[in-house]
Amino acid sequence: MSGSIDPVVILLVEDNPDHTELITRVLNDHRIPNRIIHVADGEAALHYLRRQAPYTDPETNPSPHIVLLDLQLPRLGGLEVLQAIKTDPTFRHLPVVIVTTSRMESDIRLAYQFHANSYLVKPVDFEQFIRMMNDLGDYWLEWNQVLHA
Amino acid sequence: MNSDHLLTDFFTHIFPLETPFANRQQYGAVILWPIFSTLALIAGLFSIVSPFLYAQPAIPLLASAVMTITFTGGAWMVRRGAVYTGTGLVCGVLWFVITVTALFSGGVRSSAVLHYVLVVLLTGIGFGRYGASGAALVSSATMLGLWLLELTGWLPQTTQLLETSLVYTILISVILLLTGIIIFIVDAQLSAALRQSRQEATERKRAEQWLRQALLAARAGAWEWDAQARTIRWSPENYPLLAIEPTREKLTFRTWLARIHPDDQATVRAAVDRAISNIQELTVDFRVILPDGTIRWLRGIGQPVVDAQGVLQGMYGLQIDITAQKTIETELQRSQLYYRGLVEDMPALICRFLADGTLTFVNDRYCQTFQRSREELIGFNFYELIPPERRAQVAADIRQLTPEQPTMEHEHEVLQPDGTIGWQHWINRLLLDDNGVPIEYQALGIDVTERKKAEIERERLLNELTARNTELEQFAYTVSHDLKSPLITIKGFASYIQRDLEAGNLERIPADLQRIIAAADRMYQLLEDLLNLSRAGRKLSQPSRIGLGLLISEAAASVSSRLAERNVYLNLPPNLPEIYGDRTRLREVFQNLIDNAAKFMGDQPSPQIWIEARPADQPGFVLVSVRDNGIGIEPRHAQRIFGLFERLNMQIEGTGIGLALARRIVEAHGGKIWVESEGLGKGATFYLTLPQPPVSE
Repeated sequence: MSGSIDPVVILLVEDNPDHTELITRVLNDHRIPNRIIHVADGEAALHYLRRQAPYTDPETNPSPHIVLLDLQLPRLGGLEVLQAIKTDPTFRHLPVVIVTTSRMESDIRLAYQFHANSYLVKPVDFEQFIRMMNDLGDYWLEWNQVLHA
Repeated sequence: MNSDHLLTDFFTHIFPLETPFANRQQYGAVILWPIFSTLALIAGLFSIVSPFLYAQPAIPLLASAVMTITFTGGAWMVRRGAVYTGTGLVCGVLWFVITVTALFSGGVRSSAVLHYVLVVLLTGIGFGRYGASGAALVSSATMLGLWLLELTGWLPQTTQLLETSLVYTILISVILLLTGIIIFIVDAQLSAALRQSRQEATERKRAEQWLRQALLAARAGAWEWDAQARTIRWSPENYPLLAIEPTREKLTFRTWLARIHPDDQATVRAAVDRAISNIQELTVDFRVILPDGTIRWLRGIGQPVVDAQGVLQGMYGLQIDITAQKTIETELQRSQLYYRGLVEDMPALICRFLADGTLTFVNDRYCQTFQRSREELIGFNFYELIPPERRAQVAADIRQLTPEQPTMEHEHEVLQPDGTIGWQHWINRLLLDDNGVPIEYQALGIDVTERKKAEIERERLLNELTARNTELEQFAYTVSHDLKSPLITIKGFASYIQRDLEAGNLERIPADLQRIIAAADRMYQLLEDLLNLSRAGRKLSQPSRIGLGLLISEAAASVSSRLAERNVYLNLPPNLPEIYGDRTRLREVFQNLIDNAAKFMGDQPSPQIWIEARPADQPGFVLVSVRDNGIGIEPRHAQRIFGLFERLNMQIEGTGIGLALARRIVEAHGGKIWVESEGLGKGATFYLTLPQPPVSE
């Protein structure tokens, strides 16, 4: 791996600013170079993907290679965002990893029904949290081959 | 012999028989009157021919003339029924004429004395064997007298009457012919009578046989009561009817009465007495107890017989076994009793009706349910007891009944006597006659109003339960997220602080600590709100009259710091109405609404809140509005904001419980809450309806 390779662009859809900070810190420390783009609600996430205002500039708003999606979001829920992505031919290929606190069976079932690529539950224990985020980085940023649009 | 038959038939045709002979005089008359008539004719003829037969014809002429008159008179008298008188007269005159003729014509040697044979024959017919014997003795004695007179020479000397021996021969022949004629007539009349009586006997026998067979077939016995003799004759069929052995016991009025059931004896006696004293037909049903203990029902019928004066002579009648009929009757009565009892006592409505709905039968329950008398209901159309808009459906249901599918169940509304609508469940049946032709409908119904009400109530509770369950699900869902989130934050940043301290990197520690404190605060607030919410779901405390103005002032005071912080001006008009409910809970509602309005003022330079109140459309409720000029709400989120833990804006603090709590409290008071906004930046108005105090007496 050489540093000349473009960093992997991650779209983090997370309403909780603290969690955003935690995830960002862990991934910034990850050995795979990556760039995290954060939006705080479902509508913003879709606006970003579709390059709608205020995300019209492709330079400052690069297309993500992977989406980390929380389920409990204001305005537009995570499942709705997931459905929107997976029913849109332009974004269907995007790996969407659900990262949430919900363990509810109905959430898990619906997420997979809407073709979520993975479903992760945020561990309360911080050591586990770090491990999970690192493993997530290893798997999705290194081993998993993404489609460079 | 055919010819003989022809002759006797011809004869009996001329002198028809009048049968049956009741006594000796009558049958004597039947034989004698043709004999006397014939003899009168012959005597008349003789009186015409005698002048040519006799030398001295004066005496025979006189004698035959007298006899012609005598026989004619005798025939007339016998025809009148005076047989003995007629016969006596005729025989007396004949004897006298013979004797006188003999005196003047040669005594015992006279041919006249041979006529005594006729006297003997006629008296024999008229008076029987003793008459004949008597006449024979008298004639013989007369002959003896004539002989004595001749011996003593008292007889006249000129006794030679007859001219020739031919005449003599003729005279004897006439006597013999007369004897033959008399015997012929006697035989003809007697054999005709015999034939007739034999015929009658055969006919009577046949009639009797008919009667016997008919009685046996009818399981009946005949009886005849003679009022004069005071006796009853019983036909043999009565014996098996009463199980009496004819060889052992004789059926009498006494033995008959002994067979009758003790409970029925008085009835039978009364009926018999009534029939006799009123001279009317007898009809009485009674039971008899047979020796083996079986009870048999008999019906006695009788027809009185009266004479010309209207005096009761007797009575003819029958007694008929009607056990089978009575058994059926009793069974029928009993089953009718059972069914009537069932129909009247069943806790159900029962009716019968014609195809057009006209009632032909209703039971007591039906009358009670609709509070109308049976007289009112019979002939009444039951469709009038059904709400007009439901009648067509009920009629359509009933029209579905066919002989192939004769029963059907349905439920429909009815107009109850108190004007309310009730529900009834009906089982309808099409009644068919023996030929399968529909006659009318029968229906059995039960009141299911309570059940229907319960069903509606159950439906409502089920819906409420579903709503509660959904809410609970939402609650669990959000609690798992919202309570875990701050925990992750706390543990995460605490770990970073630990690492930074170990690395001596103190730069971001104060910020991370701030995050931890804020997360802990949020958890505390969340727990507090959850507790509050769970309390709101419980029963409200005793409602009271609350001045809305004062209540809102209190609520505003409790959030005064927020109002002051954002410099929000609260417009509270005077003369706000009173409301009715749980004071503490309702204050929380306004607290949340004012706090919410103050939080979402955005960058409004002069933030304001307006409170207004007016009567609601819902009777007994006040419509209160809380309007602000803050950031407003997109209309599509108007419903979502009342959901538990719903937050439209993460930048603004809050747990997402406040409005959910407000909704729960308002709904617990029977009111509604909703929000209207023309969109972002246009402000928002929260509306809520709250109960007015009850009108005081």
